[in-house]
Amino acid sequence: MIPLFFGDASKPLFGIHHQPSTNSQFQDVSIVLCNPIGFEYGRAHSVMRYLAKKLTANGYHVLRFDYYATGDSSGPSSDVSVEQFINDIKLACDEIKAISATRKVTVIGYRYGALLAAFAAETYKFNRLIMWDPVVNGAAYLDDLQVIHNQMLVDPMRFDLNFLSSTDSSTELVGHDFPTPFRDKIKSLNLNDLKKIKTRRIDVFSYSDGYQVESFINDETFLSKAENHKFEGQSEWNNVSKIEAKVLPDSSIEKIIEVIG
Amino acid sequence: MDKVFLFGEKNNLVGIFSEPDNVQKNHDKPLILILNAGLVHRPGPLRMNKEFSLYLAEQGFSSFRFDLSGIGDSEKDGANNQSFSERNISDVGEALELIKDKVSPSKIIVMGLCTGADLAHRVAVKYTDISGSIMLDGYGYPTQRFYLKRYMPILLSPLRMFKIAVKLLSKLLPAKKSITTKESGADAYYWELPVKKHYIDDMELQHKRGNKHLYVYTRAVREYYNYEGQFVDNFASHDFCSSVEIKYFTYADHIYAVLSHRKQLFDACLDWIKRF
Repeated sequence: MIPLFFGDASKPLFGIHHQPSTNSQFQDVSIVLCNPIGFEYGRAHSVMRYLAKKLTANGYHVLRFDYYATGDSSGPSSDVSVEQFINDIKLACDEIKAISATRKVTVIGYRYGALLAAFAAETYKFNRLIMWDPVVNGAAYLDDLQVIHNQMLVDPMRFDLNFLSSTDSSTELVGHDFPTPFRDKIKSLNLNDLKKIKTRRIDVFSYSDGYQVESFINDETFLSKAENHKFEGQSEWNNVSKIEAKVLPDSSIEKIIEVIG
Repeated sequence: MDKVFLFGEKNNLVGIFSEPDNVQKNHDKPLILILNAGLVHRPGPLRMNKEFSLYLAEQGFSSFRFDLSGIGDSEKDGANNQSFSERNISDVGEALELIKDKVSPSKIIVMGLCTGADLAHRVAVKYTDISGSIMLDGYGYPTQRFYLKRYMPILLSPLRMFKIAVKLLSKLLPAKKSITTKESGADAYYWELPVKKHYIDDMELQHKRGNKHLYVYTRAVREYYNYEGQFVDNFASHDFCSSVEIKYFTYADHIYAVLSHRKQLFDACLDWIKRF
């Protein structure tokens, strides 16, 4: 495991390069993991790390990274930008191909990271795209975040409700900056609006309570190369009591490993 | 500007220095060593630690945040037989060695939230390289006034008294055995309040060294700290009391999930650090 900064020197991105296990079979494909955004980022850190380590056992070079203005990457949290995030995914792909000397890259995107990865693939060619519990509709996702945020603010276990009237939380959601241009762009992205994805195969891993992915999967543009792997159970992203809870690895991880091979 | 390091005897710890841009390095200013809060990795709850590092850098202060072994991106050393608590303390020792080697600041302030506050106290006692601590929702000892504030509303409410009576009666019935599971890393979430006498000894020791402290509380810990003057009421007769400054944010939650609350925390910490 090698922690590093990469990308534009004026906006360095933090990443962790997980190297293949010593006795694993050589793979000519490397893998980039794309995080969720907002409070979901913190919830997902351990499970993304777990997935990365599992993939190295199968011989893959893996790069986990933080988008600009998130996690340990540079930039104040108020500088978040969807366009920047999509560009960061492409930078991460270039980086892992360069440091691992592999020609192809598979991208695994989790939650909004899956949607960002799909939009990055409009112009950047991925070997495969894995969309794990993806956000399909940015506007619906933002509505959900607003509901959780509002529930959090009136949670008597968390706040003294007598003090909240003076709080202006119009540009933040669950402890993260969500300035208006960022919200507007998040809202504007919908998987169903994608006209092309430059990848040979798309695998979607969705939960029974997750957003509907069927219309996207069944779109004639993607039907021939997309498959939806459904899981029973709940992902519980919309549960306000889980804001600080870590996501634990479940059977979806094993299935992702199996599908990637 | 941030720089990342793998360090420790087994090279298993991941840490990041944040340094001010475009200023001459000022070794007279204290460096802030930021510890993990529970199992949350380096950037902290809702990116609080990273944001504070940026804020400090803007003001000309350096900081170092890292993951304790077995937390975040730092691997647990399988051959290390130390307890979780002992290992945390030696990890901080490794971080201090790295800081002295790379930056060599004149003073180091250790900062932690919740379990991080507990660790901040213990390492400030153990390592003389540490000159002060910022404890967020750390230790608190009850006073008479605390008990009055805590229990008077209950005693004055017939409904709540009735519920307590029902609860006490139910305890007289045979209880079901609870099933507990052994959860890896669960001890990272919990800490035990030191016996008051030991705490006083620790603080007297630090006071003799000249250490100073900022204790910040929120209503999240109202079960053991429920008014600003509780610390002074407890320890006014001890010399070390003068080396501890208290802030009490009754409106904030444990992880400062409202950004204006977080800004007030940062301002309070920075104000104290500047006077350090």
